[in-house]
Amino acid sequence: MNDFSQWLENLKQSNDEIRHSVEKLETFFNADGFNTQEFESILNKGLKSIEVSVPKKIMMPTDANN
Amino acid sequence: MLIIKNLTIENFRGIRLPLTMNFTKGGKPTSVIVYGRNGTGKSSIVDAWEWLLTCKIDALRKEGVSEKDFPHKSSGGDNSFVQLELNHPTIKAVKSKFNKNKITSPLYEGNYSEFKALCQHPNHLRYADLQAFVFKTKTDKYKYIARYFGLENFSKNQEGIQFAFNKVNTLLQIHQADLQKRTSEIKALIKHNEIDDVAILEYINSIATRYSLPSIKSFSEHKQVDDGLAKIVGKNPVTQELVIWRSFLTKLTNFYPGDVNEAECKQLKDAYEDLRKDAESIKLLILSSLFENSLEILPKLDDPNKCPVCNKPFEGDLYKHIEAQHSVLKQLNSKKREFDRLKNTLENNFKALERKLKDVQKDPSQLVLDTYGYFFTCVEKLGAALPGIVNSFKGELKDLQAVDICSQEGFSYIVNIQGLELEIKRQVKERIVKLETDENSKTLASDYRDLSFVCKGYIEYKVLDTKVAYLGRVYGYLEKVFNELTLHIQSKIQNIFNAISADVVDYFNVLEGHNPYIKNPELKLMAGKDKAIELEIEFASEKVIPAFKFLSESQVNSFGLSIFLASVKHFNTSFKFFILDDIVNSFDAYKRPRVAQLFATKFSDFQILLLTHDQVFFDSIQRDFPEWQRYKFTGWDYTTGPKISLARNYVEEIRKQVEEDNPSVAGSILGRYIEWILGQLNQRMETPITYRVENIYTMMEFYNPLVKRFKDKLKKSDKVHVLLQYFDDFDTSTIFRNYCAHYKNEATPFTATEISEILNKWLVIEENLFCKDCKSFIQYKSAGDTYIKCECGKLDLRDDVHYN
Repeated sequence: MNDFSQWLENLKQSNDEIRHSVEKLETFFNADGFNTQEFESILNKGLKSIEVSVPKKIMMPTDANN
Repeated sequence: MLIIKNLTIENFRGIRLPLTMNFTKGGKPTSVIVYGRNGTGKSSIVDAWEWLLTCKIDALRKEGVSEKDFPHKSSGGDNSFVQLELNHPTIKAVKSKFNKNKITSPLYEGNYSEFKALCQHPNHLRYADLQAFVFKTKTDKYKYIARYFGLENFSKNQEGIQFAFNKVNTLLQIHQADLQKRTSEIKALIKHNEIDDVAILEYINSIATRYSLPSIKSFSEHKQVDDGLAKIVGKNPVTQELVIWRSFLTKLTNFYPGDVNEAECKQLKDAYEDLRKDAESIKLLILSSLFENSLEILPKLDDPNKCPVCNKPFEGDLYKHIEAQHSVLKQLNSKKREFDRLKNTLENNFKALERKLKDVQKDPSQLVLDTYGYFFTCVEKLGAALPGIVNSFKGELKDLQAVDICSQEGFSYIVNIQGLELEIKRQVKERIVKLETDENSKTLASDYRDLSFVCKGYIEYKVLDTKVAYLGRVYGYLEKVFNELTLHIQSKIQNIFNAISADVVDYFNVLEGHNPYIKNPELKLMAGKDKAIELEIEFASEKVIPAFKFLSESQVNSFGLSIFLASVKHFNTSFKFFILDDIVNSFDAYKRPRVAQLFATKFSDFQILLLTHDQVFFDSIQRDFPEWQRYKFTGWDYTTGPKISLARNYVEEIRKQVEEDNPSVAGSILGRYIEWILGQLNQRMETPITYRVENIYTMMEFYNPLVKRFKDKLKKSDKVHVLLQYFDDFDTSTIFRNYCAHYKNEATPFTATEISEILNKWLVIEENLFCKDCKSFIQYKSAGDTYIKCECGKLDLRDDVHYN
């Protein structure tokens, strides 16, 4: 494990809030640095998924929504 | 401890045939110095080293050079490697071989992982790195420090997060702006302060009630009201027509004005024709950067009228010639940039036009099509012609035969469509006004439009709202990790600097210690800035930041070099080796010997690879460190790479010429050598020398005053200094005085024996004036007590041990 990975692991132990943030982002960290391409790809997928799921949800009858 | 035996490079960058540098001499580990002018392949050595350690070459990556360009061009990637042979109990050799099948993953042989574990920290420094340290921004200094403090991974990840941060922030702002716009539009229509399911439902049901349609219980049923209203509209021809024309007017408002105009297209044509006036010069544009480099290099060469690439002499002033060529290309470059700018703008405008053509053609009603058939015909034909129009100017400049967008097939439709704008809009507005005289139909049309807008808009609102919340959460994660990472890097930098600062100050003082006003260099992290470092110095007892308020470029370079060396020492404790590539470029002549003193006093247990194009510096190192391996790159050839020979220092060269019975050549070199040493000694002894306005001196005019100086300052009433005895012997038992008068005259017949004798006796004198430990000549100082000592004080001429 390199220094940076070790630091990330240690950071996760600090508190719940930080641990949660680190867990959301840790797949993008590697030896060459934060993988911005992969991050952008996941971010765009997330946004696209909202474009599909939100209209679907809003058009479901109220009982199903609840 | 890792000790290098030799380094071999083959088929890599400018090196074709195997180049081996031997790091042992007489069976003992030693250092290596390579001298070579620019363009002889020295930097390929540093490139090879960096690639061996990191499989990348950062300096080249920044110039857009990729891994496929690393092997020598004629090798085709075959047998391209860097190999290190080592003296170590378990690590004997490591090799990195270029992998044609996966260019980013070299093939490693030997004990590579073990080797890497002992060499984690960057141990090579180029002049460009020092320049970055001196000239660049606080952020660039931060990157330099992070790299040399072993925090490169941290710094890269920090950069990546920052990039992601900016990306998310931009998207967040865009979506927040869209959300705000949609919110105000919907609120204006539903006349409610809040947008939620209840408010929207209330609005939809108010419309339903108005037109006696059944109410709905949830938004998901809104289509019922929509469809119900559509049926009512369908039964009302006036409303139907009103809806159609209003919709078409909205499309026209979004369509006009056009994104492409004739004037811009003509501008591009003119820019192209201006460039093509001198077609040959287009090809020469690629030489622009070569000319720029030549203008930088030529003044530093011994012979500035010799081409640094082919080494052939040029008739005339080569610098002026290249300057003139470069000036022509500079103008061309400026024109090309303008052409590219216009081209890119037009490409984007045509893309926007393409989108608008598609939008305006979407679902047109038959009524609109029938009424404005000509408009839609032009739109359709323009859409078909667009790809051809764009292709006519899209390519590379060198591939374009002509650029004349206005003459392209289909361009006339742009002009036609633009010409229709005013009349079409006027006609459509007139129709709408006429139809709106029927109030009921007008209201029905408005309600139908607004209901459709609110229903569609509410879905868009929910999507935007969810996106904003999602981006906000991601932003939060990035912010938390970024802040923690920044704090960590900053405190690490500070801690490491604190750990090495004693060494930094020590090395800086060796380089700059002659200046009593500059002391205690320190790194300061800038408060409130996440990636900014500044240099602080104590100047005339006052702390000053940034340091280069009062420090010269050369002095800040000393600071950067000190940090690098202190870091290498601190981190690579099991591998005492570093490479310095042309780092004395900005150092004044008086300071270059101090670099040698630094190596001798602080890094005597290190192996060093020193690359330089400075002849004087090379001569000094050769003289001070005869035990080093010394190579000279005398030229470069595409088929072989650097032309290499073992270098000889002055003394070795003189002895060789004596051996070969060339007394004239030996005498000439000896004269230059003694003059050089006399210059240094006179400076350090602060010898008064009679000024000559014509600035031409004989050697005796340097020698005699020096001897007198020593006699004056080493006088003791009852004793004689050995040095003075050596001078006496030198004067009386050799033909030195005669030699001084005639050595520049090639015809004078000195014998090889006579030259050898002068050399040997001179070397005895020199030995008594030069400290082998700190590699410095003695220096005269009279602050309180007079003394004549070397830099480290070990050689003290006024010590009794030197007196008889």
